[in-house]
Amino acid sequence: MSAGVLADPTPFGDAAWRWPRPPESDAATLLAALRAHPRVRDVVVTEAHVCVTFDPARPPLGLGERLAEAAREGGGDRALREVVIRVRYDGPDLEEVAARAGLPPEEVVARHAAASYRVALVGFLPGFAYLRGLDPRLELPRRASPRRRVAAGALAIAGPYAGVYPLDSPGGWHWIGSALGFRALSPEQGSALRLGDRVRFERVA
Amino acid sequence: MSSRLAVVSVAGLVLVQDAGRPGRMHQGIPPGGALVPELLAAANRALGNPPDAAALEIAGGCRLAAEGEPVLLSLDGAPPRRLAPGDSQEIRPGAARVRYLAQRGGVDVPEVLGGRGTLLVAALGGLDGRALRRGDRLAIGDLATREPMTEGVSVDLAPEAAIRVLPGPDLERFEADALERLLTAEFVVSPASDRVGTRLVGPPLALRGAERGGSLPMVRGAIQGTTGGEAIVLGPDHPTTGGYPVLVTVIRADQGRLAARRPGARVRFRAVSLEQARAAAGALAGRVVRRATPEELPSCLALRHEVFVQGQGVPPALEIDGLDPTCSHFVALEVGELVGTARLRITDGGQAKAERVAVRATARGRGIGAALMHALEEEAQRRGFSELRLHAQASVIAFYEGLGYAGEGPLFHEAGIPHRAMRRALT
Repeated sequence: MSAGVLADPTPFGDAAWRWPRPPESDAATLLAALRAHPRVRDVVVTEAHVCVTFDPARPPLGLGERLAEAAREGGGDRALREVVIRVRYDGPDLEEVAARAGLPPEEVVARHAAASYRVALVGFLPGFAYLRGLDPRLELPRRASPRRRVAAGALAIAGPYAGVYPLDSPGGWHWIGSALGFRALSPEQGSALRLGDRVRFERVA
Repeated sequence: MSSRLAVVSVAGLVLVQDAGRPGRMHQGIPPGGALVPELLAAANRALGNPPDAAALEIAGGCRLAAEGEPVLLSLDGAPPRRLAPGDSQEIRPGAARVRYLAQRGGVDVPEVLGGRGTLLVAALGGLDGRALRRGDRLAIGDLATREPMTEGVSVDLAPEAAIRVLPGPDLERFEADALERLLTAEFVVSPASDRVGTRLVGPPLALRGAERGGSLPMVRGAIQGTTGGEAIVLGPDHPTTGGYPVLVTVIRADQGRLAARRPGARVRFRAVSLEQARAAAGALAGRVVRRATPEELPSCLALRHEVFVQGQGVPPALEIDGLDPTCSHFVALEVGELVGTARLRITDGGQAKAERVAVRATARGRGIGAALMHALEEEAQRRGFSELRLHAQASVIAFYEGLGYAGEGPLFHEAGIPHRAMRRALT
């Protein structure tokens, strides 16, 4: 990111702007900096974009500078939360994942549980966190036909991501286990996992 | 015993809704809010409630009865009606896809994650996170801040008008003629529409390459083309991210108008500029900018006195310069209250000049000054001028630059305040 230079935002309707995410920027730092603006209603940071919504009769000023500054900051000094999720690897797709990865199921479990993950994106469903850090051997395209129902608490993988379903929902990811005692979404706290959090899975026999 | 509303019967989907859950999209929680915010606001205003108080969003029909003490109800902004204990009111489908029944004081359900509205996908908010059923009882809040209105509030949802859109943000991901095709096609609202999105049946919006990308941020009003040929206009409970690029986005002022259309209704789209969209949003917020009537002139002068004499120390004799009778005066009103004024003067040299642009201190930063300038520009253009000039106070030069005005010459002092001459071509 060259100093202070940021493309103009693309209008996303009259009540939102979208920028390409500055390279090397820290998602949680961008989120915090933009949310602090009094006229910003919502901020969504994905891996490739930053989006801000507002009242079109009161658009926020100076967001480009704020974003450029936050992008320069990086996230180096920020204290990271680490969330440990206990998992039983009992999902209905574990065998198929193992077969497609060319690994014994036990090895799939070992590799999945050994990795350290980071919340790269929250979206799709309330409280659904896309976790980066999956062992590359476990990267598989989504299921050819999505399941009509994946249970709340299902641990699943697809592409480079792992995730825990917050709600019963249709889903196209590979269901490999069940999170225990973990609520991805609660009425008290909202999403349990936040952008930038570190996540580990602890295997429960 | 306090008053309550009892649900006698339900035929359709009845949900508690309010202004939504601001500031939670980064947790994947949709923004929420009423499908047709104008009708919710009208019903609340008629009752003296804050415009975004929780009320019932009714798709279909239902019958409600009062218990305890009388309740005061408004349906879509109609004049408030008193419902005595034991009496019931039937709500039948209206012209819009949903109707809003508000009660004076608001529906009293707990606030969950910053809102009282029902988010069905997550089964939270509203009454136990679900739609209302026969036998439910709703407590009534104490949110009313004003007297109820006897005449009610009417809302024009322009059922025949083209829905206004801003192109983008992913135009380049579509075939070159996709925008043109969208703007010339006619769509029909599908019965599969819900709070997640209004589904439209029409010509497919062909993607270039057609492959899904990574997750993109999404907003209400974004129009996604699906592989099935339907277009989905995202509604208040849309997923916060999605895999489909967005060809155009419905402007805020028309999101409720679109959501109000029933299955089978026709929809056409029209592209507008960002400036037009913002003006429409201001109008939706109850803002009117127009020529002042002669009776309004004293109020304009009073507001100028407040802003320039009291606020900035301008001597009264300079503020009232004797030229007002020669000027065209404009007012900005919000829900009937004067919040801004400005005048257009034709100088002795035959130039159009914007003067005395004043916005009430409590109403600043909402685009009112820009709306006043827009009105002056239109008036000057209508009268044949090709340029509008002004003397900007130094502190607001950037504001005028943002409206397309260019400064010329050095700063000078007027009424003890540094100013700069600025001008803009009217095209």
